[in-house]
Amino acid sequence: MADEGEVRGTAEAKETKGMGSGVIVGVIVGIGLFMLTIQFLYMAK
Amino acid sequence: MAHEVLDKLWMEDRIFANTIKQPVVRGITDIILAFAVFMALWWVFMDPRGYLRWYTPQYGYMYIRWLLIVAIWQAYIFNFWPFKLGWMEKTHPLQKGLILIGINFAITGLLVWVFYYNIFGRLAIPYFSWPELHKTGLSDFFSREYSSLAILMMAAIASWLSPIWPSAFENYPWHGLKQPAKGFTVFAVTFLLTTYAYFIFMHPHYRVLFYPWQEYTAAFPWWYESFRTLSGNFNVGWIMCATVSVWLTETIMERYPFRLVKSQPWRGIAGFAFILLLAWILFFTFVFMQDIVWGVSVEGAKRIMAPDWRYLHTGELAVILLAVALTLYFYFDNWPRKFSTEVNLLIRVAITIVGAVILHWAYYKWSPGLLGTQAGYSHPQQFPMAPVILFINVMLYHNWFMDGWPGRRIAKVSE
Amino acid sequence: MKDDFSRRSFIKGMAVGTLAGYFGAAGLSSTVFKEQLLPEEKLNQVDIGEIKGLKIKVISETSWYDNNVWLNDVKKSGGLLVNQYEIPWTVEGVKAGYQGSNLGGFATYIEATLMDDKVVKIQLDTGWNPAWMEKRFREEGHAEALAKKGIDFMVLSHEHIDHFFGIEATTKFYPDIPVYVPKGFYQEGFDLLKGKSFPKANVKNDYPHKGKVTVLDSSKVNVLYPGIALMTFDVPIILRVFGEQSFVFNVKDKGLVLVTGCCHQGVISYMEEVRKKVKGGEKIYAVQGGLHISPFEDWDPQYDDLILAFNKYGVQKIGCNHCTGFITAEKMIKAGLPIVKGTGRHMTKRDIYLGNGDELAIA
Repeated sequence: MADEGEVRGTAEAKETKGMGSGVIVGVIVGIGLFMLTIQFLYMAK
Repeated sequence: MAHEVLDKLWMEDRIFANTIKQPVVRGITDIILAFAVFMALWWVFMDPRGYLRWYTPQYGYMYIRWLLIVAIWQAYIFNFWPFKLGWMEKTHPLQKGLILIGINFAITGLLVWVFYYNIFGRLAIPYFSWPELHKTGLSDFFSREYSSLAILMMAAIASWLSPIWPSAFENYPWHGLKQPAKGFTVFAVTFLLTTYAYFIFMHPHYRVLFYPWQEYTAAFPWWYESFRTLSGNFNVGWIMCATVSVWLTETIMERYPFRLVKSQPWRGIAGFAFILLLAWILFFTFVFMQDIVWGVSVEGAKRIMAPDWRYLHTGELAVILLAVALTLYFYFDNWPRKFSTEVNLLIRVAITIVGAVILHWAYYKWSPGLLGTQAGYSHPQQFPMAPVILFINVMLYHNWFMDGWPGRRIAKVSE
Repeated sequence: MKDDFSRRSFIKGMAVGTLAGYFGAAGLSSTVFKEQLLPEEKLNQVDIGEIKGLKIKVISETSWYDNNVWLNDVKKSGGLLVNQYEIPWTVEGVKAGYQGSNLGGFATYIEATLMDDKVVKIQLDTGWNPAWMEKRFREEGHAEALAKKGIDFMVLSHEHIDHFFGIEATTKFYPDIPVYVPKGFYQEGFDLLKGKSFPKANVKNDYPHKGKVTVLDSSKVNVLYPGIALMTFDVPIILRVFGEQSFVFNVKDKGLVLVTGCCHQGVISYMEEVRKKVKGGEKIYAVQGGLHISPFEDWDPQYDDLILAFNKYGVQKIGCNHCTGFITAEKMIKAGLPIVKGTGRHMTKRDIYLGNGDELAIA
């Protein structure tokens, strides 16, 4: 029982770690995509 | 992680059997069918070359907006009361559709012609009534247009506020009531809020609409200093964005992220705040985009350079976004659904944005021929929201009232 | 197993982050960082030259006589998007009208004295009701000038009924008068010039135009003579019309004078475009013509925006009339704008602004 709990705990910890860095990368990508959108609009002027 | 579900709509429990099995074929067939019905309705009621020619534009747009909010009340607020849910499940979609659409049209007609024109407009505020305004000496044409704007704005605000209750609040705290008590309560509370919101956001427009200014009865447009226009179009713009936000969050976004909030009323409050934040992001972003492409708007200018038209146009752009999102949701099963919620959302939002760019291009290219409109982005008697929302109404009739027939049927309704 | 979990979460996180980043960037750029991100405005001014002096005579600015009759004609037909060639305009039984017809028309006569003292004689627009227009042409000596080919050319500001449907009143006297039209004229417009009739709309042309027709577009400022230019605006207009062109005159020692038919592009937009494209455009000396603000004595808060903004442009003379609207004129006068008064003659209802037969001279 204790072993299972440990495995689950570790897995959950890994899950959160992946999520955090994913969000950071995603935010950068998102900002970049929006800047690209603005570039298209500059060209559409 | 599952929260306690306080309330559900009957529509959420429908399980479908596809008559047309291939999803892309079914989706395209559905679009063609909905578009054909839309074109028929447009020709009969709205087209300036057509039969009744109500697109002037506010008069026709008024009916279109009321058909929408009445449909929302029928399906979302009253959960199809007085019809028994067993009847809803078993009746043929064509029969159901004709009856529910008939009721939709009838209630809209009664609200406009009996309530607004002859009760509220006659006994309370004349600018809500076409005949009452005409009696003051205003021209017949403008009496109809001015009163239509007021009436439709009540519908527009209601279509932002009413669905928030079943969607974000799950009808809390009235989730335990049975219909029609639940429906009447949610309707009454949201329509009360709508009324106050109308008077704060739209009524000042009517102070300056008449000559001389109606100084005793309406406040000065309080947004003038910051937003450089006396016109209520400033509020029309972001409110239209809010009506779109409600439905974006309800459909392609699956009520994410506020559904992560575990209990009510906090989930509802988070939902309301998120919907408003999204509305304002859409609003300011669309203004910004127009400023980039057409140059910054000029105070006092007309048409495409007018600040107030730019604000209005944000709503037009938002509704184009919504039409694509709803097409994806209703006709392509809210694709994709196989990844995690977050990834599904990202893909759907990306499809919606790309689709909206395409629809925007197609609309402005083909609407003169198809809809009888004039070419150009900004025209004094044109309002793309009218045809686009009419198309959305057709999709709602098709999917809410008729279960998406003939492409699919209800197999059963889950418990 | 361990890698799968973290990759899956990473991707989920990326999805959330991308959405948040995109919409967050949208929200911030469009508000907090808006000033820094908007592209700079580019001025591209053309020197159009100068003239010595300008005389503007209002031949007719009364396009129709009864607003309610006009609006009912439009409403019955289905509103302001309906094609003007298909609306049965009321030509009889109107008490306030001319010989029972609700139709009048808009036309202006302009004399521009060039720097070498040559006088260029221009007719702007040709009205609506040919009978009314001919009466006014004769009363002002304009019919005689046309018959002697004493008018150098005619400019059609836009294709509207009240500026163009009276074409036979001009071509009767001078069938081969050179004509400038703005880009946007529909085929019906060219057909009417050539003599086609549209019985549904009660319009005909028994004197087909035989002269040169030049179409001017919005790609540049069109300089006709030194000091005399036309600018075309790609503006969608009611009743299935598109495009309007308006004059820019540069009067020596005074400045730019803008003369319009209806100014459907909007007078503020017009002044802004002139500022960007014509040398000296920062200061407009005078504006004359229809400004299309409250033509039906209707109102909209946007028109109050216009009146409040107009003061900032420092225009010295506003010779507005026709589709400007009386309510607009009253509000403008109250706001301290310099509206040129008229005399209220020849069926112009009020003297609040330049009316039929009134003149504005700038020298």
